[in-house]
Amino acid sequence: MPIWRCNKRSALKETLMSEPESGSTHPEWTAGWIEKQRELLRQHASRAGAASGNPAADAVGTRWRELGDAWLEGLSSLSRPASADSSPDGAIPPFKVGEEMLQAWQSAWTVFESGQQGITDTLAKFASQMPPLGPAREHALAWRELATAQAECRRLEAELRAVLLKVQHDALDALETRTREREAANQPVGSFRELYDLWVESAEQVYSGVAQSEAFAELQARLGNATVRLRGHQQKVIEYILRQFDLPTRSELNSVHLQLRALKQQLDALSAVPRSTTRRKSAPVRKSGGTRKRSARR
Amino acid sequence: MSGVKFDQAQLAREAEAFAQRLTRGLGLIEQIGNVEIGTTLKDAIYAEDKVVLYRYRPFPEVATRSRVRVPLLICYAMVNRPYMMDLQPDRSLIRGLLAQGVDVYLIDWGYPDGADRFRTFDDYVSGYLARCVNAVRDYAGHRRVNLLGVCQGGTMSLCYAALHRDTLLNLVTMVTPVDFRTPQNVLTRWTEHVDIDAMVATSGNVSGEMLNALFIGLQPFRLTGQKYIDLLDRIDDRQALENFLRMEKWIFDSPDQPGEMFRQFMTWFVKENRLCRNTLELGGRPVRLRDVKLPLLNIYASQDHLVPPSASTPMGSLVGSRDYESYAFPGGHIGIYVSGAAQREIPGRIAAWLKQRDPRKR
Repeated sequence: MPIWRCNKRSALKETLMSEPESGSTHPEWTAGWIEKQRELLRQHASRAGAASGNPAADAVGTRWRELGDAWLEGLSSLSRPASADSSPDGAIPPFKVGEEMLQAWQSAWTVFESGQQGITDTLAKFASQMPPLGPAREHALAWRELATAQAECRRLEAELRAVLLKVQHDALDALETRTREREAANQPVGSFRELYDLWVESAEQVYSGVAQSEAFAELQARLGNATVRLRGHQQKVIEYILRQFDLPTRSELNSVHLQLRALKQQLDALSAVPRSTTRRKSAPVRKSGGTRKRSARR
Repeated sequence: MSGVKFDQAQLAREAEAFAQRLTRGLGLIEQIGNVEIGTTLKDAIYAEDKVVLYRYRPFPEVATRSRVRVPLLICYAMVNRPYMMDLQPDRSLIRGLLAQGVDVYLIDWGYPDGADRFRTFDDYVSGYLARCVNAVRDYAGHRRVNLLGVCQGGTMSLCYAALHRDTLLNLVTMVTPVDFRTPQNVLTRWTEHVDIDAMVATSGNVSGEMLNALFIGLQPFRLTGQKYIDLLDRIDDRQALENFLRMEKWIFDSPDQPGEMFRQFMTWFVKENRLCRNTLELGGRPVRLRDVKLPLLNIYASQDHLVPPSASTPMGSLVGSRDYESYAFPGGHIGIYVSGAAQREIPGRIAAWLKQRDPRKR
């Protein structure tokens, strides 16, 4: 999982390395060994796990490869030597690693986001400044609405992403609390797997609290509704283009389906005879199977 | 200071063990091929549009005197595929019922497409479901049949039972919501502010993939990562891997929902809670739960995160049945069909309840 990646100078790692267990004085050797496992796995994965012909199996294989690489990267990061910039007293808050990663992640999104947002905003601004007049008025209006809807979607996506980032952040705090509790109870976390399971538990707990909040429901709904509006505007523009090439549109198909449904209802009404008068005479329409004799009604 | 203390040598061992398990897993995945699903023998006895009605072949080894005479029709939800009822031989509610002498029929709603986007909720309840009930009545030669509704299919079955009282003898509901507005219902809360009308008007049918994303969103950390890591613990067990793959296929084999039907379900049932409030109308007729007067067995799962018990248990006080029984299965929404405990408990309980109410037994 991503939280265990991108941590060149993690405080967790430093915490771990500042109190080495006896017999654990060969971090470089450990890191090398783990890296070797990763390499072997990569080599094997390039040969094995090819398409099995079963989509569900292939999807699991892909998921394993992704998770496996992240997993070994996590193990590897825990084994690397501590960086030189530990604080003088060695009292570094544990699980800073996640915080660093989150900041990196957030920065990456911000860069991406600002680029996308910039383009969208420019488009929206440009479109809003175009006077919807003359023969192209309707087109200008459609494109303006599309640009506005896109900008709204991007804004809400960023808002939701910020909430989810906070969940990850709070999950790491919860993880820290739990590990301290485990240590206090003389049951310290002893393996990466245990740490991972504890992290999932912490994250689900934090997320559950957020997911049940009114604010989250509202934000999700606002994003969903904005996406629907965007899709509507996209359809409008696309259907215009399709009509220029005399190609069928979804709106036309909808009209046909509505007419078909109305016709079917009329047909059903016309052919509906009270069941009590026909039950013994006619069997239901069977398109397949069933030649069995019917016994008398009981 | 952190409570995390790792031994370097242990880290290396853990990495090696993990890489080995993963390598074995990838190799197995390659060999495993397609997994079989829904292998119990059945025959299609009725079909209409995309809907197919199946009858499962009775087990010949069950003595005639041990059989339930009145057939049981299973009405599954439209959200997933009904083969969850018969996932594999040792995880099959249907096989369990057949072994108990129940004559089992199942509705397969198929995969709705654009041609179905204007079908209404009532088209399914008083249309397809009603015609399937009639097909079973004719095929089996019984004036009334037993109906088992599952999840959303249970809600549909309750509506059907309220509207078509003369065709049913007994009703069984499994993990069926009637009160959609309880505090524990996260999905309801999430949809509260969603403009369903606009969504359906724009998207037509509602994508099964989108619904899956919504369900995964309930427990994203477990469902996108941890469950795959957990699977590696059992990688030497080929059967466990096959079981996992069957379940994985079922989870992501999600039909699209007919647009209008979905709109009505979400608006009338989920947002406005009309079934529970006795304000629902289908096809111009009022649907009142108090009109459900037939014997009713309601089975729900005590750890269900999709249909929490609080959404299902009010059924007892809302229906008009004097013969109402409920059973809380100690498990989740899926475990109630596929867990070992479910195999031991659920089919026997349903069959025994039906046998007690079978005409011959009275």
